[in-house]
Amino acid sequence: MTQALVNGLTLGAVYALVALGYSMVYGILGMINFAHGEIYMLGAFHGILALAFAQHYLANFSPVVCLLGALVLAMLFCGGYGFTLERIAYRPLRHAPVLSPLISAIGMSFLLQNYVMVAQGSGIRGFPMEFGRRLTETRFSAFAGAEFSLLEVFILATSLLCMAGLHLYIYRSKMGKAMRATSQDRRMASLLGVDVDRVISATFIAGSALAAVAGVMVSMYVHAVKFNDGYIMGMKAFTAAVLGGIGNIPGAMLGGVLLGVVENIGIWFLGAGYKDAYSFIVLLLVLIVLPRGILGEQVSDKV
Amino acid sequence: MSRRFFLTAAWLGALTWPVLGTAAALKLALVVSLIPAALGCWNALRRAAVVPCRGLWAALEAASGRIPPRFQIWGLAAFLCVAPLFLRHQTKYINLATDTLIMVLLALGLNIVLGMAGLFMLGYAAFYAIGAYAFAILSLKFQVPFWGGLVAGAAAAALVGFVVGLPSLRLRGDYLAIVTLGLGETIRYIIKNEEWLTGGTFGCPSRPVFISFGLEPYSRKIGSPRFFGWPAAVESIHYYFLALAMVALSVVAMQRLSNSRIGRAWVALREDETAAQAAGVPTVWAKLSAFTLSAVWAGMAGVLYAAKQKFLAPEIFDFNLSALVLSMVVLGGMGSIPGVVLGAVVLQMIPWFLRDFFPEFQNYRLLIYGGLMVLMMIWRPQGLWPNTRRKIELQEETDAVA
Amino acid sequence: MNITWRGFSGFVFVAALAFAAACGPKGGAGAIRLGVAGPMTGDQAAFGEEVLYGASLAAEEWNERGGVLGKRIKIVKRDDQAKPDQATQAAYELVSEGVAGVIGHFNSGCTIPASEVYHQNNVPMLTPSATNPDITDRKYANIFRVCGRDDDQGRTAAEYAVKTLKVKKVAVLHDRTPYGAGLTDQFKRNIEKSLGAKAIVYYDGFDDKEKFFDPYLQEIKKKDPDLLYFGGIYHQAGPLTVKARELGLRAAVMFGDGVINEQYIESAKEAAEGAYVTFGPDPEKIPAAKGFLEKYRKTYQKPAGAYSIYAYEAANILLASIARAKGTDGKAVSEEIRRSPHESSIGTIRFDGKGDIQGSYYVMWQVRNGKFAALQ
Repeated sequence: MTQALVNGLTLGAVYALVALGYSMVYGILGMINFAHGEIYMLGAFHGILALAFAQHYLANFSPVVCLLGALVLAMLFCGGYGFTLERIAYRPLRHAPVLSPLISAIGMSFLLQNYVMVAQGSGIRGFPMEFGRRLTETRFSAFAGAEFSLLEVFILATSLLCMAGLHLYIYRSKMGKAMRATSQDRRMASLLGVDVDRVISATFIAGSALAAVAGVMVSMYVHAVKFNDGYIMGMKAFTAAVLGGIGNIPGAMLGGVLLGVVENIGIWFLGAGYKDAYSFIVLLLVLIVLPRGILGEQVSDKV
Repeated sequence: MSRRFFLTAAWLGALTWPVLGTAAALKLALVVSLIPAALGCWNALRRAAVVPCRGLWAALEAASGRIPPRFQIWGLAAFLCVAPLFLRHQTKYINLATDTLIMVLLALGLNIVLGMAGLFMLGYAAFYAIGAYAFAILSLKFQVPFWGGLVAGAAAAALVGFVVGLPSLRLRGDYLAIVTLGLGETIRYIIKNEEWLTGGTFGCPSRPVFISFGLEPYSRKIGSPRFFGWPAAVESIHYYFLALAMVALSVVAMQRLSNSRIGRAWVALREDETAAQAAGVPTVWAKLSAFTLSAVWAGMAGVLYAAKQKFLAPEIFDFNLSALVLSMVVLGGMGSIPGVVLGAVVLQMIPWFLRDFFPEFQNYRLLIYGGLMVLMMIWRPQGLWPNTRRKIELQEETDAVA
Repeated sequence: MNITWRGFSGFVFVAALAFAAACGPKGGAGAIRLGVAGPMTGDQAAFGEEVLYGASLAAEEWNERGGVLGKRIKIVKRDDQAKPDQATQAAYELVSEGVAGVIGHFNSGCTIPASEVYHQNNVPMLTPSATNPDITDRKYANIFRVCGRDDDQGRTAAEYAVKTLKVKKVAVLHDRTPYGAGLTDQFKRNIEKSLGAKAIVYYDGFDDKEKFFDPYLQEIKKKDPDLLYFGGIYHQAGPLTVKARELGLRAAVMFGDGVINEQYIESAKEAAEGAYVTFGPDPEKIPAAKGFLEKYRKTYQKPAGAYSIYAYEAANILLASIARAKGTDGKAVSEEIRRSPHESSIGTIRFDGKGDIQGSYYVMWQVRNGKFAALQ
């Protein structure tokens, strides 16, 4: 049970990071960015590619520096992908009917997945373990026989750091203020001189960078990445975002952690067969009681 | 113009460099920077070729305009009935056409809940799975004949549709979408795990038995299937005609539905739920009937699929299928019946077309498919063949604002 | 340009005419077509490729010798994406192409539905890799298998575990695919037969897309088994092995033939060392197979995959039977395949009444120094 909680917390932190991307985009554009899971997968690939490069050419550098470098590179490139994604697939559809960007997102998800498959092969790509060895081999035992590794602590800490950073960005910076204004009323914000296009781009870049962090950390945790890994993570993170109240940032964090814990306790109690269904069942129960998610505003539609 | 393309090219090249490698990224950048030149060529081509094409289209329009629409539809129907008889040894076309017709049925069904009633549902594949599995289990364990199985499959799907519809009474928009997605996936997990009933991951065979009009499907005694006593070479020709008949009936039924009392209630629900409620539209009934009817169609399509395929596996009914059907409806034009049919046919044909005519692009098939989906959506955000009534309604609204 | 009924129906007629012209009676009746079906794209594309290359090599050799019955052999490949519904469509397409026989499909889950189509149309099918017993247990006259069965494989693995490794407690995981679940079921049954039901200390199956193995492995570690058996494909087996070692699980690990791929060792690196895998006899140790392996390496610039030689021999059996049946009639060819013993580079192959290879097939392999090596 304690072990399930520890695992759930680690997994949940990752879900939360990816869920933030969904939530931010939804808050501002009111659309589900179905290709967000693929950005997460691209993040994992860029981290691994950067580390493979470091393994060959920068063998003398300390693993910590390499790891941080890979994280930053993955964030940069994924930010780029998020930006490009929005420019190509969503901006032309900004004034289209509600579901059109969704279909374009599904198309983009196919495209990105197969782009990676064609370029990087359809097999798994292992994480160069030299860089994470110190992290995975340092293990602690907690009470009640549970144990965890330094890597799990690292994942949790990095996630919290990223979320704190995002919080500061949204509530302290000028762009964050513009984001909040845009998510409240896009037309009004643009009338007041907010450059909505820039705000939307910044949202996509920030969300994608967070997904990249999640991608690198998960690939280190599970030791491998595959071109179609983004799909399940995207689905889970989307569920987490809705669970917490979509468009709501603390909600996404809460939803992610809750989901991770529920899944692991579910496996522990009932076995793996219905693992992916537990989260949906919890979601259904929560939404029946609180139709707008846990932290969502419980108001009815504007008339 | 060309400077912008050059910048885009440099940007895309740099972005894709880690994944693609130097050579391929440079190639990509080169291709993108050549787009202005290509556009120039395209414009020249347009003058040279597209104008005659448009002329041809106009000529087609003029020519077919002389034939009354009723005859055109009969002509189309006659073509769809006769052509397979000539292609009956080309089993792949028959099977493909049958699959397409089944997808059309599915898209028409989803169109009820999504296009007509405006309720955002993901996870439609679950109803399809329920119909298919209900039929397979009944045919396998109780030797229920096809027509009985059809009714049973549709009824089972309707029941599940009703239950899945219940949360819609409380949830709206995207919350409804994720809950229906979750319920759909949960149904798939039940199918995958409950081995005693569904065969679990090992799949479930179905044994269709027909007792009707000249359809004598394959059996070990007859040797080869017959169609009205005529050797058909492939059994799926029966299912083709069955599917064709069902699609034809469905199109008529949909047309009637959308103009009926309940159809108008759905339109009211779609445009403004609160106003509809205020105007006395029974929204609870309208929502539940939309879900239930929509599930009936999915169930029937599922039965047909199970009978044709003779083997079901849980992974056939995954989220990809739901997303595909959703794309068919949106891409074709939500709420527009010919649009939905067109969307289903187009999305079903593209992969086949790419596979048959460009086999060397095999690895790029889904990549191109995804790209085409994005491009088509950008080209026609309202769908390929939008709903005329909706357009008129929206037109009036903007007129009123102006 | 708006789509209207008037223009549209005209367009449909023109398109239909063009289509009819395009797929009118095709020429090319001169060649014997040999279908190859398997996952050519997607995450199991590596397996599809090695089957395709193996079969192509056989076809090339026959063509060099002047073809079969004076006709050239043409390979027709179809992608089933490792999905059952695509497999059926691929089967219909191959049948439409008029293939004389099919090498494939790769996965059990695809082979079962596709074989229904081949059976209806009387096309001989030889799978080089699908091991689920159901494929041949239906006793279709034209369905053959040039590899072992999961019940055989599960028994071999269990016997080795009990007799050689002398295990007392076994943990079993599978990936909930027809292959993985079917194989582990056989393994479990055999272990229970010899050690009693208590010997299985953990038994569960996760999704075949699962990546987070911690919860299962931690539970397994608490039970302290001597052996961890996993029925699944290499892309889960690699990370699973690494994770097991990382969590300090000291049990030996054992897999089925779905793991016999270079990518397993590449992804698990030194954690793979010592892992047991059941598979057919090592062709490297059979002198007759040397020529094939050399030729494969030279033609495709890479070493032959584990299944290449089975695809190659399946194609040889099919083509030789066509030659002996003096025609491509499915029934006659199937009878010919079943009737006679086939000399091949992996030994003489005889089919039993169901279409399986006679005799036991599996041997134990182990990862040693970063390579799969057959024991004995």
